[in-house]
Amino acid sequence: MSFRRRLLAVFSVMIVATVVAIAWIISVRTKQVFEAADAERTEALVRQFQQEFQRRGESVAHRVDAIAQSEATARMALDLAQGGDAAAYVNDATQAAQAHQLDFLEFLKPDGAIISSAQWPARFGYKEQVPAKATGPAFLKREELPEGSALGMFAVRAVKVSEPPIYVIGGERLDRDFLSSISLPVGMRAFLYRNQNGVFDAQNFIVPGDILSGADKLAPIVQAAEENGGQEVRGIVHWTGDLADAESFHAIPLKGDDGNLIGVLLVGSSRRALVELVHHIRAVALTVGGFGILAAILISMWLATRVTRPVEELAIAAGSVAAGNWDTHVEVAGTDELAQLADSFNKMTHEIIEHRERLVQSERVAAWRELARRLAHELKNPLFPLQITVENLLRSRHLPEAEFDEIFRESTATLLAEIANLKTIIGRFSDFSKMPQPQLQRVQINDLLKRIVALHEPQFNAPGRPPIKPVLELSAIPEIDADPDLLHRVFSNLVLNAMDAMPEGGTLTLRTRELENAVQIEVSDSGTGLTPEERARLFTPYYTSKRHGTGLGLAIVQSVISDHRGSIAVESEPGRGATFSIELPKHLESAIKAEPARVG
Amino acid sequence: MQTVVMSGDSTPEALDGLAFETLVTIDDSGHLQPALATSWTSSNNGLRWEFELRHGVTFHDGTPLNPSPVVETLSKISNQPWRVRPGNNSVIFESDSALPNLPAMLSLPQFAISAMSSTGEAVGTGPFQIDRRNGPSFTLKANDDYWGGRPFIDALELLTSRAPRDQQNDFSFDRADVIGLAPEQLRRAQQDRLRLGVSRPAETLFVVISSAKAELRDVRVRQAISLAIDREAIHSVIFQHQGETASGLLPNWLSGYEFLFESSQDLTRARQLRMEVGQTPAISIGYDPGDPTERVIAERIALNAHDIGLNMQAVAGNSGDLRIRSVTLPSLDPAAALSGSLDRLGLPSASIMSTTESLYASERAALQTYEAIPLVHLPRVTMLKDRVRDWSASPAGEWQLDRVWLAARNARVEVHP
Repeated sequence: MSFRRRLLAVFSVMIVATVVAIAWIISVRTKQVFEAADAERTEALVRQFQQEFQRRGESVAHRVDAIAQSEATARMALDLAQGGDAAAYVNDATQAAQAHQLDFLEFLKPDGAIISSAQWPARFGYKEQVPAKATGPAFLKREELPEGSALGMFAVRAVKVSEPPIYVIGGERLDRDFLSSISLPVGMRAFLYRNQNGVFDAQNFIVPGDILSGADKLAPIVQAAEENGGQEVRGIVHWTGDLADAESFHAIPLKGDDGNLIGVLLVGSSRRALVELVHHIRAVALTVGGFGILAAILISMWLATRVTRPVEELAIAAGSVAAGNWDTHVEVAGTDELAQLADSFNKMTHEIIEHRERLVQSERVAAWRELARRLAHELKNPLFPLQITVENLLRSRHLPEAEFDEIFRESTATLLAEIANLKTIIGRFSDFSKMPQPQLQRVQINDLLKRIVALHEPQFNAPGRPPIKPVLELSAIPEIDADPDLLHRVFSNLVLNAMDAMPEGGTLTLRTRELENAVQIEVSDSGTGLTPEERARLFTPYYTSKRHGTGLGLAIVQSVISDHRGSIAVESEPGRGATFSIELPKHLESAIKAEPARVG
Repeated sequence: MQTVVMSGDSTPEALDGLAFETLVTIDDSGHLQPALATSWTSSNNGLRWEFELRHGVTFHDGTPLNPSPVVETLSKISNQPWRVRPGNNSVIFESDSALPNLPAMLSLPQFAISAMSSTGEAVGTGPFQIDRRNGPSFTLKANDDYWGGRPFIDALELLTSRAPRDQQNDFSFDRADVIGLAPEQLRRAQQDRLRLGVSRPAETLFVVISSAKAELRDVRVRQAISLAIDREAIHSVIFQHQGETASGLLPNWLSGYEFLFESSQDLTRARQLRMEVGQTPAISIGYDPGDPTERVIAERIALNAHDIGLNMQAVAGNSGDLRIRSVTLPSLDPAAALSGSLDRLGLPSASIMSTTESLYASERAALQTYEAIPLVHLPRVTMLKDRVRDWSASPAGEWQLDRVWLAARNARVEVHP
């Protein structure tokens, strides 16, 4: 990934992360604030309910008091105490309940038998539990009715005009009218759930107004409230797949005077406002994030102009230098670190060029010196016989003619031989200077090697010298693009060198192997081997370790291999022979195309 | 114009007695008396009966009574064991089995004689004739040509479908002279020293099976319900000790043997029967939503059923598996009354003999089906204005308005049965 893209990514991630973090913090904080406000509203509503419970309880207690203290009730109590017929009062509860606007009213005998019941007139004679206390405030109670049970706010009073007393139990139903009497803030609503045998039933809900659809979804909250030992329970109900339709519910268990759970008050608060607010925050965050990414692009582009472009120029320049273009120059603008880096780069390339030129010059001087030394050496040997011969001729001028003629013939023959030797030496140098360009064709190296071994076979077993055993370890290798004459010259040269290295005889091994994009040829001998110094200078022109060598053989080998875009290496240790390893590309055209452009 | 106001949700039976007559009637002592038939004779061991028709009787449209409309009327009644044909100013009944109780049977209101007038309306021969009908209100005028003598009052207006509270208001605001009073209100009315007419227990409340629910086909379930019902509580509390608990179809004062039937609550036996049957699904008992007393009775019976483990719910309307049914004593003749009651309850009534043993056996057999479970026998109570004079009713509470007269001028007679 480029520096510019990395910079863009870093900026984008930083901005988006910042926006997301801020949005998250705002969302969480908003949710906390909303829930705190929701809790406050719920608590206020619960207080309102409690106040309404208390108010209605006081009202019920007051009305039951009035009934218990009425003359009709006193007359009933006296009559029953004197053995009167309770049947005469079977409708009194209904009438008194209507008169005092009570939903529930029962008169009980001292033993709890119902004298009269307004809510269930047919229950006369059936026994209720005798109230433990017949004074005090109203309480919640579940009342069984023919059509099911109902919740009510009840008060009980004893009519003590006779002993034992009869009881008046009156109450007001907690129904949808009761729920409707509570003024609820917008977005809030309240339900009552009648607990019946602890088994959830959606029919047990008392709701203000319309029917509560999907009441089954409240079952977990109701059951949690029932099982939570009377503690308040909170939960969220998702009415639909839309989160905005969700509602937070606070379930407040309602207990009767006997401590049993008789109902649950559910206060619901719509989460629509919260969800819409969170959605709004997310939308803003997304917008800000989008603008942030756009800003990141712009900033990164601006920074690229200021930062990444010099760096890119430096990278391009470094690549150019690596490709051999030593005189690459980078524009220096400004005085910052990047400008200093560019200036240092320019100085570095300048010094590299100077160093290279010095090196080339010194190598050139060394080569000329070596050439001069070799030339002097090569030429000095023929020149000395020439000088002796010419001096003999001069001294023999005074000799008799016959002797002179003989000396003259011998001297001229010597002179011609040495001159021919000089010509040979000059011809070799001339040949090296005029190495031809490879004439490419498809060449099977294995065949070439076999021909070379066959050519030198007589020399391997020449009389008067120890024999050399040639070994061919040739793998199946493909044909390659090469000049067969030049390669013949290369491998002949290596074979002759190997023979020279084995004056005591030995084994000459020729080995081929196919590589991925090249073929490998190894020429190994079991001769005297090379010292590290000899290996270092082995391919230097005019260097030779042999007494009569020109030092051009391996230089020519290296030159040919190089012209074939191949490589040559040598492995050797003194006394352990030497192995020349050559790699030649299978397809010379491809190798040439793959080469980096040669600069300078 | 005299007006009679009645309550009820169907054509009141009193209307039949005022406008239509039978061949024979039963007097207050339970004896047969001539009506449209002046005499009757049987022959061929009770397989043939001949009823001689009264001379000089005309229908309200002026048509004279002759055998033809009588035969026509009685032939239309289905499921009767006789074949009827006209005789010489008489009608002749023939049957394959003896009908010793036929004269008493013919005193039942369903055998009242009617004819079709030229306008297509049914007309009778009674002391009053239907003048007009306006919704639930009927107006009857005196039949000037009544063979028994014209009634003293000129007209009656009967208002049906009046709620008890409306009847009370009609009476209190002097819009009615006679109203019917629920038996449970009798005690308070007596305490208030109001003028009342109280019959003998002549109206019986039953719990009848009104659905073909599989569980109710098991007689043990029906018997368990009968044993679970606390009739004494219904009698003493709901009806304020008026009437008497019922163990039979006919009240004891009429049959003389009702005390032989058991009516007391037996929860142990009822629970045992229910256990034998096993678990049963919910059963409903319907009540008339406009009748609070019937509702309380239904709820009480449901409570009693709960006591033996039966799940019973009281429901408003006619959809209940059980239904509370009121049957007014159709005749003062025990055999005719039993036959009529069985007919009205939808129970088989064939081969009822007039002997006490036969009646007991027939009633016992009907009771043991538990298709109709008697609850209480109730009196029929009438509350009267002081100006209504010579008011009389049969022991069964049937009004005898042909002798009534009003003390005040221009006063009307309004009746709420």
